Amino acid sequence: MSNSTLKYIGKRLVISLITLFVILMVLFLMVKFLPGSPINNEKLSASARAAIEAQYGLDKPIPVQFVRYIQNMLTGDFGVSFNLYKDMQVSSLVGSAAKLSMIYGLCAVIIGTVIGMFLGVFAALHKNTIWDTIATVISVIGVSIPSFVFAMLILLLFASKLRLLPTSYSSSNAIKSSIMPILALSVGVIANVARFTRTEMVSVLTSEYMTLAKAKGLDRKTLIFKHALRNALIPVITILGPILVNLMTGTMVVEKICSVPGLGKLLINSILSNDYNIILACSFLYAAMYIFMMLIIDISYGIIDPRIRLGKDD
Amino acid sequence: MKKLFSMVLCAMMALTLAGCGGSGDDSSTYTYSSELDIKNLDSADAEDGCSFTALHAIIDGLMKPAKDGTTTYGIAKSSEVSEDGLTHTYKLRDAKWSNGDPVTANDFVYAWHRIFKNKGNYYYMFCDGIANIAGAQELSDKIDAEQDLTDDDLNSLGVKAVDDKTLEVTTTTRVSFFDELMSFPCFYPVNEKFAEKQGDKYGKSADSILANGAFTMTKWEPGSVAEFEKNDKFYAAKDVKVDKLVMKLVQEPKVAAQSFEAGETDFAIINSDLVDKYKKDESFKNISEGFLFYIQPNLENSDLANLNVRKALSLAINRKDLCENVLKDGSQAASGFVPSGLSISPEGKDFRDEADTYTSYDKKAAQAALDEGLKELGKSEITLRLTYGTDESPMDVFATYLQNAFSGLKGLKIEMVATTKQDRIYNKQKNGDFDLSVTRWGPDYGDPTTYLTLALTNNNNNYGHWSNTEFDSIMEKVNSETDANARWQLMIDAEKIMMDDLCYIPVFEKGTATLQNTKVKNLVIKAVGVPYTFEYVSK
Repeated sequence: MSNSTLKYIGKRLVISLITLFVILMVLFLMVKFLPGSPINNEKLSASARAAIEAQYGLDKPIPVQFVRYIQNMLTGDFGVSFNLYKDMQVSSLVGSAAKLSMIYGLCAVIIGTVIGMFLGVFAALHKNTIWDTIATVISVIGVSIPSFVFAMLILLLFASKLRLLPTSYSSSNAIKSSIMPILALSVGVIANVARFTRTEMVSVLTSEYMTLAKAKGLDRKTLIFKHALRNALIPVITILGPILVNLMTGTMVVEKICSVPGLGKLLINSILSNDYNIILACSFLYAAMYIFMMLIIDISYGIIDPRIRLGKDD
Repeated sequence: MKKLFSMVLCAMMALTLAGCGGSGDDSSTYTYSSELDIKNLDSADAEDGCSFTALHAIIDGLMKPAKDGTTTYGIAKSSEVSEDGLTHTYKLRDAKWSNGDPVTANDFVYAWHRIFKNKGNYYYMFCDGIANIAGAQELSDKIDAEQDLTDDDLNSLGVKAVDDKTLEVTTTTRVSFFDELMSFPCFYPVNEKFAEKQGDKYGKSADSILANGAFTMTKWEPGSVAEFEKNDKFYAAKDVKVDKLVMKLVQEPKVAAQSFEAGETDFAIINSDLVDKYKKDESFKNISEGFLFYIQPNLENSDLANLNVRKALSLAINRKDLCENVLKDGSQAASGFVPSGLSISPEGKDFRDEADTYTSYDKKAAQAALDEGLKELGKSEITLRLTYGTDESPMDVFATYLQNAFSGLKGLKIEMVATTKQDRIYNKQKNGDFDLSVTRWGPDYGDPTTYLTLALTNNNNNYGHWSNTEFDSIMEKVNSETDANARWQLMIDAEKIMMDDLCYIPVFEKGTATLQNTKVKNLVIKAVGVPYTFEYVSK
């Protein structure tokens, strides 16, 4: 990696940290301005409420709360849950949920990309034939059907009717019970990747350098994989980042349907019960993941295509 | 490079997802699907039905629900009440905690002190008007005055361990439902040595709580599942028929129904969309939740201070139609402010069977009452805001139904105010910024006073500020009356006063539509306290 690349990465890291801080501040304010309070038991007296608020430091002015939150956060302490899982450590709650969501997201992206690329290349090589049409129809369907509808469909078919798979997630049967949600999540990825790969492959295959390579007498395999696919991949990688982040945030409904105790489900439940610390930790994690993904994607361009320069000084 | 990356990912996946194990559809495992989550297993803090259900699976109090739904002895094997009704003496049986320690009278004393020390959610249950335990009101007043409680303060609470197996509780007045109250989770014992060792972590995970009940907790994954095994140290272990208990947590009703069809669960709560599909099914059962849904009118609004206007509102609601055709979840029309199935009279009759019916549907009479009310007010039209929380299902459906019903009256305009539950209660209702609020109340114990006290002038939840001196004085008599029959009659009279004046407009008693495995017997379902008791379940 050249000096300029490192300098670029460093600069991006600093910007990312500043962005994260601003996001955290805005989040903190927004959460505090949510109507109501995390202490929502209608049976509590005013003084009992005040006692609980004092216990969690909610009675302090907002700036004080924010500074304290940042201080604790830097030591890895994200506070405790106020009412969703009363007094449990948020870091462990969010940690285990995020682990599951991340595994699901990554699996869906990997499976989706492999199948999608295959479909795309296949369609491009058989351009304007019946195979192309079939592959295109599959991807259009995949883009149009929301993942949760697909989840409901396969749930009905595989779990309820055929009884091949369990209806809901269970950690004692993790692999089997993860098949459906991951499949549901990967449908959108397959469709998007297939469409992009096809379009890019078609334009690359008709370009002049491909004619030259062909004229050089290269065999078909080298032609497709080394020359065509590699060039066609760049735009695909551009969309993979957002897809991955969307998957992590967009797993919410699928998580709810398949009863997966992931980050999305935790976030929804915490918003519904005004559990400030969980909302903050979940949203912050999403923001951090998004920024991190963007950085990775930018850097990976340079690795795939060395002509893309990240720094200015060359 | 890419190959390496994908291999590492695959290895990670395999490692994290490893640990396959089959879960069978056998008769020794009972599986229960919950729409909600277990929030907390600390009996000082737990406040929701799902946590209560899990808590009672592992811990017994002095008393507990019996197979037939009445109250029976738990850790206590006998009890005695002094003649003046103020001293309750419980003899404890030889029960053990799951770590082998005996359950002693001190475990109760410690647990109850701990609730005050931690200023937990439930110290109000000990105070005047509910358990009336001696000294509790003074401690509560000190907490309210933000004073710290000393050990001497705590020792002034009317609970004493006479010896290891004898617990003596003193109350300030006769409490006719005291035994039933002792089955409520906040009165459960806590093993002092264990709890002190766990500190803040007590009751936060499967291994930070001890069992003395029918099951021990083996696994608890928030948002996913809780698993229990039969507790061999349980004093009635030979009567526990299932070896394993599984609570599936936070399952969507549609998914729970699918799980039920696939034979993965024995109990599922379904929503009204699914009722039509299953209502002819043998496994379909409606159960009562004990919650009363009602309208709280703001009596400080001059239009609503008019009794005829309130009467018109109550008469305009077709409660039966709302329950049977809109909610479709087993809810039933409320005929008074104390729900049915809550409390049994000394003669063995339900409160609702003995008290009058105060609600009916008559659109013409409603219009007539409104016309009369408008005449008294000297107005041709009034506008009322209807405040409801969109996050408390089925409040939205309920509120929309009311809007339609009230809009059918000439001279009444309804403005909908949609907000959240917290905002509705703590901002709108508390500050009097509402006209009509749709709200609900769940019972804390199986006595009519858990509802009737809501109408007391100084009750914190009386946001509409209704005040009636006759009602207040009858309620005072209810507190001090020693004759159970006379007390019962007083409560019936008290309800009549509040219902004749419609300080609240009761609408429906919430039910739940469920699918239950027909092979399962003896699941105890209660509208008060612990909703589900698994101890007697057989499959």
